Amino acid sequence: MNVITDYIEYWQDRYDSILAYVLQHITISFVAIVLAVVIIIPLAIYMTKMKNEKVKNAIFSISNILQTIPTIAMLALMIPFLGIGFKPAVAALFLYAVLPLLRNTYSGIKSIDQSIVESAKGMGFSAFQRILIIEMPLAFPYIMSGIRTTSVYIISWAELAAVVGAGGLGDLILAGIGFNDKKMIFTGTILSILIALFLDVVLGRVEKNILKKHKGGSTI
Amino acid sequence: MTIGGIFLIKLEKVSKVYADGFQALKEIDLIFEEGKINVLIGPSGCGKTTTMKMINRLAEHTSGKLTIDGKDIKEIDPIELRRRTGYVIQSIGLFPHMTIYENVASVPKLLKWDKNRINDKVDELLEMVHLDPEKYKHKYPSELSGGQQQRIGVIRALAAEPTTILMDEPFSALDPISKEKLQEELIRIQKEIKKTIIFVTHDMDEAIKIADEIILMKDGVIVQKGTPEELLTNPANEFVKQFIGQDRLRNKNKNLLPSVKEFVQSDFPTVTMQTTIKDAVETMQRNNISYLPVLNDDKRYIGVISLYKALDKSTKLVEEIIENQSPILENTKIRSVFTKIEELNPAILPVVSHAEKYLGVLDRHTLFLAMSQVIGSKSGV
Ligand SMILES: Nc1ncnc2c1ncn2[C@@H]1O[C@H](COP(=O)(O)OP(=O)(O)O)[C@@H](O)[C@H]1O
Ligand SMILES: [Mg+2]
Repeated sequence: MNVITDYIEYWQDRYDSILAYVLQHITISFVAIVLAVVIIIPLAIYMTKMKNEKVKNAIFSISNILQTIPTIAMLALMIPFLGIGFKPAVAALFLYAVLPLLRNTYSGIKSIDQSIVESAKGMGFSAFQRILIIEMPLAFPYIMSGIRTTSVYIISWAELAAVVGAGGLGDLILAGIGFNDKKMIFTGTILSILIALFLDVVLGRVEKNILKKHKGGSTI
Repeated sequence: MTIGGIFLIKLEKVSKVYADGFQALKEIDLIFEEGKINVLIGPSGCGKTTTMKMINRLAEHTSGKLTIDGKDIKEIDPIELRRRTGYVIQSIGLFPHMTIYENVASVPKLLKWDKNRINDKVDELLEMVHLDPEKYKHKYPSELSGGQQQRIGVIRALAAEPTTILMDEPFSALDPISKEKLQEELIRIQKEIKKTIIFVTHDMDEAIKIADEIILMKDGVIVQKGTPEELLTNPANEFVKQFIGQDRLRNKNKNLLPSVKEFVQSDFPTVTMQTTIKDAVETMQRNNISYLPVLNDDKRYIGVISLYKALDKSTKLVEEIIENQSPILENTKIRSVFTKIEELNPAILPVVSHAEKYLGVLDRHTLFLAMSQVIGSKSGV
């Protein structure tokens, strides 16, 4: 009983600062995810139309290598370019998002039955209309699953943003380690997990709602 | 065949060399006839699809001249060209994430038709292929059978009222029964819409059944172009004979609906202008008939007289009671004769040659017997 009342007291004391950490955490993750979605998905779509195999393979290799760099090292590598704080944290998280988003979007579009695309072309859809009206909706489940996995990873990796002074729930954990305060460590961890779960559920809902509008769409 | 002398789609010495250096078409000269079903046929790899795809610029020809209504195709915007050219492919290519309505409405939507017009068009087209709009509009392609899906494929190509429709082996993936049905529907629909249809197939039976014109290709060249009748009765060379097949050549009469020529009754009694009414009435009564064709002195057809009028009038000569009734040309297809019978309900149908010489009459009894013979022998195969 003691532990629980203690913990509730801790929350009452620190409510303001915990909320600030949460907001920081969400902001960093959110900016990284949005940037990745806005930049990587169009890139992946562009790559499906790319004739030059060499350039395509180079992009895939780079995004693969990015994925293998340890998180701490990645953050450290950012410092010389972007200094410390918010920017290097977002940049590092963004780079981690490249591979899963690229791969899912690319393979989602490539998996569409070519006769459907050829039909659209022969009927007079412009390249842009083909992407928007045919390919994106058909690849949607793949693209969405890329966004979901990436988001969950980014939220957990955002814990390390604290290392480069960007704040977030990682700060709470680092401080907890410094003060040997289990309550702080626990709070930092559990909140990040909850945020990740919450986001996953929300994105899942969004996906379902959109899919309902075109239930004939391809399923994974 | 040359309505007002305008050829819709014309290829002059058109060649196609693919990027890998392969020459798929070799200096092709070809005119696709307006308002007809033009069938491109030939062995796999002979260049049928390539020829078709040049017409909506999915493939570009590499030399020669391709014109549509006199305009060089290279000067026509490909997107615009495709929107006014229907396109149906073997694998159907319906959009699986769209309802039947949305599929059929695709091109009209691209063309920004207003909503009511699109609605009416979709309903009209679904009804044309006997699919109840209320029942099917909101279904998805996966909920339809293969035959129904290809019906949608066909009407989707018709939705924006194109003048030309390209069909690349549209029925070849279907089961034989659906295939047969769709072929028949295509023939029926074409009677209503009279589009220029370019239809690719490798199936000679299909070609004979639906084609107005057959274009037989081999290794990137055209071997023979003509009506199914012409190909069957007059194959240009050994390859054509082989491709058509000995069976079909031998049984060509069973493949083709015969022309009038084969059912002419040449010993049917006739009268001339100078025959007296009395003689004419006697002839009719003797032969138990109520109409007689009237000829002039050099055996040209003039008209008919009826027993009814001959008995009624107190006239003396046949000349005075002649009724006008247009004759049938000897090479008319039986099919059109049936329509004529339906329209006019004439008692006898006089047949004349191209030189306007009277040949005899076609009476319904002989026609009926002859047709039952043809049908009988056909089902006996
Ligand atoms: N994109 C291409 N590149 C190179 N060769 C091709 C291409 N498309 C078709 N061909 C070749 O051109 C020939 C004609 O092809 P196609 O017109 O598709 O034949 P068909 O439809 O009569 O079966 C074939 O030998 C085929 O291999
Ligand atoms: Mg082909």
